[in-house]
Amino acid sequence: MNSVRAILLLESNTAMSGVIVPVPAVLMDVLGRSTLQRTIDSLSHSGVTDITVLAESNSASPAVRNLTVEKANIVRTEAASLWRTAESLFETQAEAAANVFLIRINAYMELNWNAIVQHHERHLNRVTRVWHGTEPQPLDVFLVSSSRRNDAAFLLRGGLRASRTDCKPYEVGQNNEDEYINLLEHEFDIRRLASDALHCTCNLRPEGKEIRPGIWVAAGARIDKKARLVAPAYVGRRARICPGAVITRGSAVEHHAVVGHGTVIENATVLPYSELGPGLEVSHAIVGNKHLFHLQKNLCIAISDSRLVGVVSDKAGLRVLGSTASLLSFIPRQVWRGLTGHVPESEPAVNSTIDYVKSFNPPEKESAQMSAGLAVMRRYGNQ
Amino acid sequence: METSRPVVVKRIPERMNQSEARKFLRDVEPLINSDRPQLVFDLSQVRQLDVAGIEVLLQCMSQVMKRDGDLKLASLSDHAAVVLELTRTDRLFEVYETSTDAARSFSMFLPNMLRRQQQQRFAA
Repeated sequence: MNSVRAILLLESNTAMSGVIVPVPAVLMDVLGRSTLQRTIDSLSHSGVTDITVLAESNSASPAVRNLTVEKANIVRTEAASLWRTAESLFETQAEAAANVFLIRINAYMELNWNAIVQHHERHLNRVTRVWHGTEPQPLDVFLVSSSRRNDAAFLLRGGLRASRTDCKPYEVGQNNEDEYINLLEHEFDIRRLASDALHCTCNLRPEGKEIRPGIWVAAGARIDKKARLVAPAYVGRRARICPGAVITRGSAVEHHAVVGHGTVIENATVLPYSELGPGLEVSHAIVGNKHLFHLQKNLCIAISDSRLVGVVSDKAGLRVLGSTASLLSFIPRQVWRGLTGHVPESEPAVNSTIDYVKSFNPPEKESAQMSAGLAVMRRYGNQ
Repeated sequence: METSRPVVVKRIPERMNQSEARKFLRDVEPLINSDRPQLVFDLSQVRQLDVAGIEVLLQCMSQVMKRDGDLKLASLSDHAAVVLELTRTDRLFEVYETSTDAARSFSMFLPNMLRRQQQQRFAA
């Protein structure tokens, strides 16, 4: 497939709410790597030699402006001239290749790129569009013959909506190929992609090593020996799992995230650079960016208290400074504790954000008022 | 002589942060310190619930239990429901859909109510 090249168009607008996922969904790391990078890897692995990513230079999202990728060139242009630049880029690429893929990168796609090329050549198509689903829906993936520059121009001027010639479309899975599509339209899709990968429903492989069957840990992750990882689970690079934490049921803790003491993560994703406080229970949710998206309730709430959901700085210097400051303050605190023999009032409980012990343990003088023979029982919810 | 104690329904403020939580605790202190208090906290207005707010709820619960009373939560807003679930405190409280349901639940297990139900059954 040496004579095939690819142009990937990256638009800043995202179909998601933009709150929990502040960058375009394809740039968000899922199990350690972004969808964009995975698509580039997949194309490159299939023999597409020259891959160009066309990104907006004046995008509101810093992630798009400062985009870096491996194995591909990046061409930046203003949003208004994106399609015109794509057109001229196509003309350049078409001179050195027989076919060019035009892909608006807005979904996670595991496609057999060679099968698409074969389909294109077998049916003598000018433009081949990829469709997917039981009730077929079009994807923004086109393979255009290099000699059909007018078709490409029509396609690009129309924003990759329709081609001017009717050609036989390629349907995902038509040749019993092992193909998978996730449209990344909603927060559910981000979670579903991670879950599908960890449950081996698709071919997406998490970054890092599989230390035990179903448990993936990336480089530099710090997992306390008192923490529990129940397969399938993923811990990203430089993530920290504190003692007593439990990561289970296909949960993913992305890179540089911190999970506090005793916190349980169940069927949830912790986004990069997020910090979860101690003693929490995060289930069926996506947490990060000081927000929690509850998948069962389809609800996104802002959490302003950093003791519950905080943010870790993405700058290494600030992170080092923060840990140094906490280390330096730890020694005087221990000295103070040793001298006075009690924990200062302002110090949080070790194993929980909420000081349950303080809330429920009656002070000495009040306990004296209670009758010794009186037992207080309470029903807990439905129990 | 039969006496029935009042059920007090108290609405939690929209923002339950450090300062508001302290203020709220001052407001409810007289209610909590009464004999066998029966309280319902209405959380329908809550838009922000911090750790401080949850600690106040737990503190109220502990005080009420010490006085052989009961504290129930009602009309949880989405925010309150998620934060209570996140902090695992939802399982410590009885939660009702409306304040009326919560208030009614206090009389559900009273001997008077049981007696009245039995009488109605016999009459039928």
